[in-house]
Amino acid sequence: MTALLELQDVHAAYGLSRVLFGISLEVNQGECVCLLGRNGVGKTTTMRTVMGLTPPSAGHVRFKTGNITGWAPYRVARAGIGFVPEDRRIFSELSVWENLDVARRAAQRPGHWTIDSVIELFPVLGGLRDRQGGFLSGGEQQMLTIARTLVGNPEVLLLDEPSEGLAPLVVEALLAKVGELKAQGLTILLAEQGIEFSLALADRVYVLEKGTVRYSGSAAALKADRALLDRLLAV
Amino acid sequence: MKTNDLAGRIPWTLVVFLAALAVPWLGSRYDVFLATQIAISGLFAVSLNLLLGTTGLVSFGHVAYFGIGAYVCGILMKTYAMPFSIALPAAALGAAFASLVFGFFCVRLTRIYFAMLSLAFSQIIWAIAYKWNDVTGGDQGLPDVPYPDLDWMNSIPLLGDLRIAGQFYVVSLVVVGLSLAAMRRIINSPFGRILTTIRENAERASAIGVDVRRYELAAFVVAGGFAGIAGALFGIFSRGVFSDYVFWPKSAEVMIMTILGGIDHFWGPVVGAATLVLLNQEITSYTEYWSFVLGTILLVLLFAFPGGIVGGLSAGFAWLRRKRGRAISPDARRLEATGAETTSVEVKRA
Repeated sequence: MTALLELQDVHAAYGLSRVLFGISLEVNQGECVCLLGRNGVGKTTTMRTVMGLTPPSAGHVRFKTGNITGWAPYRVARAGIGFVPEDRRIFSELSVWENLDVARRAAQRPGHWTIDSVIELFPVLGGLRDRQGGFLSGGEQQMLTIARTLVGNPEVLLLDEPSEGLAPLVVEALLAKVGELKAQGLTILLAEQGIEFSLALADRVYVLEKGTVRYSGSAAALKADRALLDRLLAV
Repeated sequence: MKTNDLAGRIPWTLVVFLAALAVPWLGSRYDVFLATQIAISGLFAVSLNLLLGTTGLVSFGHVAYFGIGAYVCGILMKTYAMPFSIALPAAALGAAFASLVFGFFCVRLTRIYFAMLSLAFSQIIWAIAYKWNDVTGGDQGLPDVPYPDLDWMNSIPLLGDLRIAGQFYVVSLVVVGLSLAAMRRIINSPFGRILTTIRENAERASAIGVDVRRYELAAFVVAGGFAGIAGALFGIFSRGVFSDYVFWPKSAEVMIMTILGGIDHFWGPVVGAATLVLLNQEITSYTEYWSFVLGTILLVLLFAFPGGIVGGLSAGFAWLRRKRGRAISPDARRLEATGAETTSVEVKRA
């Protein structure tokens, strides 16, 4: 079986500062794969290379059967990769509905997810349809960012640090929602520092360190081996 | 609250339009002259703001498309004796086409490089206008561009009483009004909302699937086309087209108008245009050091209202409303406060 999304020996740099030193990983259809690691190890950059926001300086990114290395971000998005960035800024001058509408039009991928069905998934957004994006709480913004990505009907969802900066109760609600998405069969690549969050969802795990893959294996194995976990993440 | 509802229900745009329309009957010839200049500059500034305020593109060369519109219309009407009804659309199309060609290169660059390249293209247009004697009249320009044939107005009551300058003002105002209505529709359309996402964060917009360059180019073409319409009207209004119209200080002037009025509000650039035109006229009649006085006034205005005049006023109204709400009751105050906040943002987007 070929992977839905595959990175082969990807290197990336911001100007002169090199961040990724040969990342290889794969995400299979229907899987939830988690990138673990401390701040600054390259989790976000890995996702940015997939999206084309930081094109890799070497290596390949494959999606389905095609090579998408070096594609412009909008083409990657339209091909079916949805990105929920870490800063989770929605378009603050647009209303909730306008945020969703813009995303739906931009992605040009009609399908299961519509504005109505994402509001069904996140009912709180229904009550805020006409609220300016800038006046939403952090949790509401995060839900809107995920909803905004979903209306583009992605085949794989890249979730960058979804729990960052959110209150524990909100994180729990978010975890349930992402779990629901996974149960529906959506392929997810998740980057997280929060181990609880990621291990609760992930099938497989890649632990990154200094821009390389330090460990890869099943989430269950990592969960069972507390010593390994401590060593890998030094928590 | 009642007075607020009432104020909200008055179609202010229509009121302002009708008041402006009455100028030739109620005002002097000089007033008509000023009003025409304000209307045309207002359109020019709003077209620039489609780039500046809506899309977040800083173009220092917007005058190129204004100038191309002026030359196309002027040459067609003077040299080829074409009617205004053909020359005006041709001016818009010519300017839009030039924006498409130049914009194709400009949108490939970002920020300051975009600004510099747009300026460079406008200087190319200026050089062509200045040197191509046979077509543009070179440094002599294209004097005596005729007024459109407005004889049909003479048979209409009221309009027939006006001088040709007054009649042309009415035509200009209608063209400007329709152009502004069209631009407003564009800004509030899904297309306009996508432009807003680009201004807010181009990277994020591209990550949701927006082809940023294509949308920027589309905005550039639309803005150029409307600038061309403004230029065409201006050439006729000032009875000639000269290479000064495409020289870079004109780009700076329209940018000052736009920023002075406020780039976050649709009507900001119009208010800025009116302010600058009136200040210019008033001060030049008082002192020969008018540019010094004007510069000082602009400096003070920009410092006092960082969001432009309209931005400053809407923030002021929001503050007044909050203040008044405090005097009523805690409940009303809370409502008023949230209401004021949302209106200030709504105003921004309107």
